Amino acid sequence: MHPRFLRFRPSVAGLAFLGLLWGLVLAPGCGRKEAPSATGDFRGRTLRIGTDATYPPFESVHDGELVGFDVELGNLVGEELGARVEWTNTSFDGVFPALLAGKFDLVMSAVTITPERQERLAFSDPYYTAGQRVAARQDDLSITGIESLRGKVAGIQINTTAALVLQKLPDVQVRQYPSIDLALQDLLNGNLAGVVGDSPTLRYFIHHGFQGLRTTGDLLTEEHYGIVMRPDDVALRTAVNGALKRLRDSGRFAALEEKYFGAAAQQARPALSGVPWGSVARRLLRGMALTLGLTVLALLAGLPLGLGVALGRRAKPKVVSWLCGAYVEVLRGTPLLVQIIFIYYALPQLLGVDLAPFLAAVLALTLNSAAYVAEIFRAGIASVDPGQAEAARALGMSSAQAMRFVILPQAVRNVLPPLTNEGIALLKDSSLVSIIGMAELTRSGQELASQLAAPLAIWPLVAVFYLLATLPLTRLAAALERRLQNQR
Amino acid sequence: MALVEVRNLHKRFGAVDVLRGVDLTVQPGEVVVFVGPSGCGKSTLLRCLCGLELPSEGEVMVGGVPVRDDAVALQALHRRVGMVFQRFHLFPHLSALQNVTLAPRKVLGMPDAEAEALGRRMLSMVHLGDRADAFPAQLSGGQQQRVAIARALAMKPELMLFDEPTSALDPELVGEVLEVMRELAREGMTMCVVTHEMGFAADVAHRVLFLDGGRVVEEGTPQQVLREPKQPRTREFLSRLLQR
Ligand SMILES: Nc1ncnc2c1ncn2[C@@H]1O[C@H](COP(=O)(O)OP(=O)(O)O)[C@@H](O)[C@H]1O
Ligand SMILES: [Mg+2]
Repeated sequence: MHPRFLRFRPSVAGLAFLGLLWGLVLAPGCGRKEAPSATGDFRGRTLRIGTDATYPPFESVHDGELVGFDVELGNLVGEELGARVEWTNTSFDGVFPALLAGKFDLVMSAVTITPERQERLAFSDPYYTAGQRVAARQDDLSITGIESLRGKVAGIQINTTAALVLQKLPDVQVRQYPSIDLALQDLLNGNLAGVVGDSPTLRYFIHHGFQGLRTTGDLLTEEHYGIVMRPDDVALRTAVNGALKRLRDSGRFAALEEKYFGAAAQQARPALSGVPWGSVARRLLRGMALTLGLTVLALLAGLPLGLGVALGRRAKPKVVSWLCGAYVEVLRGTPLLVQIIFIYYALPQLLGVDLAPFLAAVLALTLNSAAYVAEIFRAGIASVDPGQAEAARALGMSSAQAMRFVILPQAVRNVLPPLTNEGIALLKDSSLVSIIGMAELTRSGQELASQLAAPLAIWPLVAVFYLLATLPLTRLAAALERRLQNQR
Repeated sequence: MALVEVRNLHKRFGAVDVLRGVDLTVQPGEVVVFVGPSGCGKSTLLRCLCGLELPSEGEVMVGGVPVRDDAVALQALHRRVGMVFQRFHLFPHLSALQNVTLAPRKVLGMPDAEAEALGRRMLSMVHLGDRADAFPAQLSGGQQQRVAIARALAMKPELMLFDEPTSALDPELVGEVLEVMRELAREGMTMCVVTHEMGFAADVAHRVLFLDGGRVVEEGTPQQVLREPKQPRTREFLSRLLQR
């Protein structure tokens, strides 16, 4: 479980406050600011497409590049419309909120058209027909299809249409996984009887890294993938459908299908001989750099802010101390994940400022860590002997001078160890920003694991990189502590 | 004019009446010693004199200025009155010299060089000229208390308050602190001292006040109060003190 969740103590006031703000944002009429093109002419415009590139062969990251059927199709659609295409790779949990918040114009991420989704989202004409299928171990002959999963445990990727299939079989126990490769790994390990997933994706993984598995039984569903848009983007929908039709008519669509799903594709793509360690390490290094950068920036900003809040809580004016107390309550009492989503998706609509994902991530981590830092400083200040403040006052110092020259220097020594802990917790919790598309270390690991179909090779490596990232922090803190000790 | 004038001073903490009508006058250059049983309000009285506590009732005047609830006026008072605490309250993150120079630099805005010269002078006065760079943790209790005295003196106070300055010290360290206080008294410093060191009181004090139950019970020269007490409560207290 995630540390920041473990530290989460629900505070009714905090949740109520966030809930209230949220309600304001989602209230009808509080729409996004960018008006859809009414003319239907997209020439020279930029189409922003969101995707979760952990789903080969539809979308994945290869050597730092987005590749896959959806990606090529999206580029072709852009070409047809004379528009530039800009891709954003983000986690599947985040794609629809981002679309609705106006961060993207389209989502192409092997999205199945379902009635539930159609209530909130608009779909293009279907562009691919897939179906759910069961994957099982090669040596487990008892699994022959969906019926044979009754009374057993099956895995699916979270938020996918596989859940709908299994809803009809209540005696199958369902486990949800953040990405399909983790479900398949658990199947391989013997913890699941089967995995239900998209047939082409299952085929891809079995072909690439999970040779011990097989697909079995009939296609359980006929599912149609569609390109997702906001319901009010009518002109865009018309234009996209027109482009899809032209691509079909010209044969380019069929060529693309043949490239990815034709018989030649199945043979031509040999199973990977091994993990390309060099490029994996480079990707993880980049992820680690982002993780470290986010953490250091958030700490640099969060330390003074937290100190300010801690001092504010001691301030004479009731309003100031109340506000600072409320700040700590709200930010400590709500999950970081919720705060990240709120700042990225809701704040722009409340304030009319559009934050880049990186800024939103730094802001969310800063505001969150400041609340913890404030509490650490508060405890540190409280642990200084009250006689110190009296002695300072008796010498004629103002309370600000007493704080600055007498209390804080002593408090700082007391707070170094808990501040180090906070820094490390923040470093690990920063993985939550993957929900707004930051390819930090955890997300890089996720992408690599699914691209290479090798979760067992990637995740231990991710752990090592986290360890490497925390070491400088702990070394720095230890050195600081030693220096302060020597001063006594 | 009297340096300190206290009239009908009451101090309450919630429902507890700690001081119940204290009258006191201290002339410049006078050394006044307060004695009395634990909890009778001696510390509270000193804290009222230096503005760390405000009167609940009655009046405290220092140098003709009444003590009142006003941050600026209180800061001005703190500058004129030095306080030495039972438990020293030295700043542990600063060296002896820095402890002494901090307030002159930050409160009086004294230039660093001048403050350092002053600090070294003050430390020599308490016979610690050679320990200027030591941190409090490296000093004995007696040395720490002498640094605390130097720290208070560096603000050039008109009045010095001592709240049981030697009662947290090992017996063999008491003498060095009392010696410094004797020297101060000889130089004419006005001092209010809470102490149970009867020898010091007898030698140095101009006046001894016996407090009990938040009131001044007996008052006079050391000879009168310590040798020939009139009040039974004073006699009882002194005999218990001698039995220790
Ligand atoms: N800030 C305070 N709040 C409540 N009670 C106090 C406070 N300061 C002192 N007292 C009480 O006042 C009484 C006198 O305290 P004090 O002046 O320290 O006595 P002494 O120094 O003579 O031993 C004690 O009973 C003490 O508990
Ligand atoms: Mg006392």
